[in-house]
Amino acid sequence: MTIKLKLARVLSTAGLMMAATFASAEVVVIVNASSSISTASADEIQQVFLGKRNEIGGVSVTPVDQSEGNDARDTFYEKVVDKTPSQLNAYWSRLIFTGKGKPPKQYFDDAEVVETVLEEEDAIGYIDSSAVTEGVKVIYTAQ
Amino acid sequence: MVKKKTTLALLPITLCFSSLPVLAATTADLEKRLEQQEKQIKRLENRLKGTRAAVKENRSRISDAADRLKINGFMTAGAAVNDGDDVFEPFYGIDDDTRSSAISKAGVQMTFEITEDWDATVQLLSRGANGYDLQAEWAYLGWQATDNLALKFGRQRLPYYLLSEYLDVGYALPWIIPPLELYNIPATTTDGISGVYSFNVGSVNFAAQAYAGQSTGRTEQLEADFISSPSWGANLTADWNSFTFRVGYNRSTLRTDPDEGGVADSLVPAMEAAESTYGPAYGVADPGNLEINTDNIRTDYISAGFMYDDGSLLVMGEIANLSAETFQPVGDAGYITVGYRFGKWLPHFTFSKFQTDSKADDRIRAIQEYADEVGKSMYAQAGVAGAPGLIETNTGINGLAAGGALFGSGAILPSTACAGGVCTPGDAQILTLMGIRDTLQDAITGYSQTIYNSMEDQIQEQQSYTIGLVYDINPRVKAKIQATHYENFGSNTYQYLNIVEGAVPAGALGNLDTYNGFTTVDGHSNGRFSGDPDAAGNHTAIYSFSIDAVF
Repeated sequence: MTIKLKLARVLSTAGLMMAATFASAEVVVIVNASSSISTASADEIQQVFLGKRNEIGGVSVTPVDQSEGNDARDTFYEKVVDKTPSQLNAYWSRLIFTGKGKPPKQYFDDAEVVETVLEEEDAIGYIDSSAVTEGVKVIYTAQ
Repeated sequence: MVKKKTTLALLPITLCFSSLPVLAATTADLEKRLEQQEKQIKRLENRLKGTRAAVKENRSRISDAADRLKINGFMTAGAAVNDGDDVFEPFYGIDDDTRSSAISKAGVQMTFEITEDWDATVQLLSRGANGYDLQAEWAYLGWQATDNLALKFGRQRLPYYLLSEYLDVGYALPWIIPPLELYNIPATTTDGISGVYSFNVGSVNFAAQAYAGQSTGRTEQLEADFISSPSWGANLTADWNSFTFRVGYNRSTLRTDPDEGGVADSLVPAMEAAESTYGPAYGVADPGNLEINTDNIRTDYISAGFMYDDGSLLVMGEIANLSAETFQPVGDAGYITVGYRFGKWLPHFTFSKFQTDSKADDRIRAIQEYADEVGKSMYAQAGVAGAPGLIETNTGINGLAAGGALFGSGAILPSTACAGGVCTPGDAQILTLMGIRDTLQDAITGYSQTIYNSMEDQIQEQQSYTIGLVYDINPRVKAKIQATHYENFGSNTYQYLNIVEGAVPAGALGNLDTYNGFTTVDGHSNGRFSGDPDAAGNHTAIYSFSIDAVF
């Protein structure tokens, strides 16, 4: 194996690793492209995903969550909602077991969230920035 | 996969080659074949479309049914033990044997969405402290009337305090045993109606709740079941960033059903007799504020609480006042908890205090004083040492006997022994009378003493220090340990009658018992415990551990 090949291999591995790091670090909050919401604050998004408010700037929204254990979910809740999975479960258990609220519906992965946001005009979801497609609008980027 | 791709990649080439002979064919023939192929493609496309639609419909039908029924649950498994056997914690049933029943419990909740706005919810709870009996803590029909207004019809947890509605969901609390000083209300549910109105003002989320219903419970202190109807209340919660503030109020009207031979069953009639019969008979004025009620007892709960939780620092506290229109150990209670999360660890500390307030204490003192006055008066009139003449006059026991008030005219003394209201009994009759008098005196003093000391027990105080540690095993399971030191049960003064028994020589009017009044003995109140706090040294401790899960 030549040095060039080895170098190429090392570089490409490093590149992949970097790409993977960026992919898991950057989560974006999306809405349907036709939504009149163009931007939202972390506070507003946090309140929507904790069931404390159901509108952003007067526009009605329905949060779309991801399955537990997904990278995008952990990043989103840690960086935007500021809760660990344990704290989040404690929070929802207080609401669920008192009939005061229910957590947002969970979808399988980024693709399903995108599909839902494309189909439902009031849906608001979060995905890895690499999964952004045409027809959705990024209103918040968590780094 | 690779093979298929290869085939696909080769397809255009194959097509190219296969189309070569076509060049030789006529144009009409070519067009015909093209048309046929287009039709075939169309048919396949349609079939594919149909299959896709069917798959999608099936998928949404399955997820729709799954979405409509939600099942959640929670559980706590662990054990608790009290430091010694001199006192016993009655609310959870914690004594000096390590018991899992004190704190272990499991709950399951099912919610079915009938429509988008209506749901039916049932939460069943099995608590070790309740003999693991299955009971419905929630069983209601919920209606989201508007975006802001949610109504519930049926059984619901009573929202007395900040945590009352989820006090059994151990996973959501830092403690294993919540502060006993505040959280020891013997009723948890109400059957009725409630409404929550939620609204935002800027970045503050408000929730205003009002409810009314009927509830049942049991008080071990009085050994009685009770029904509170109506029981209604309201509270307001404000959420702002990491802060939660809450104020709450509840008013209930209680009716008790005492156990036969229990504390309430024996004490209440004794006190009622003092007020309605003996007091008037012995000329002791009724102060008019005794309120010895077993029915139509009004209780008022008022509370304020807050919580600060920024993910790392946890601070929470509550203060509350309970008042009741009867003799009950009611008053002020409060706690403050501070915790800090280090990753998966949450060490926390709580100080909690409870004391009966002056309003409750004054009521108790009035009853004690009255019972004392009545007792003394009865005793005096029944004859005391140094006044043997009472026997021969138209007062005291002699008078009672002559008048037939207590013993029946002529039953003991022949009617010939009394003339003109003055009795001159013979020696044998005097001895009989003295025996009766002793019995009566014992009864009076015992009764007065019992009322006094039972009432003294209603004046309570207690404080506690708790240290605890919570560890997140995984996002749905926590492990907890907790140690609570309870102390300062409050100084009380108990009365014991000091009587020197007199000798009764046969055939003569002998010495009577000497009544030396009451001797006071200092002791401590029971606080939230039963037993003998003095023997326990005015303090005790409870140690516990648990595993809490939620799904």
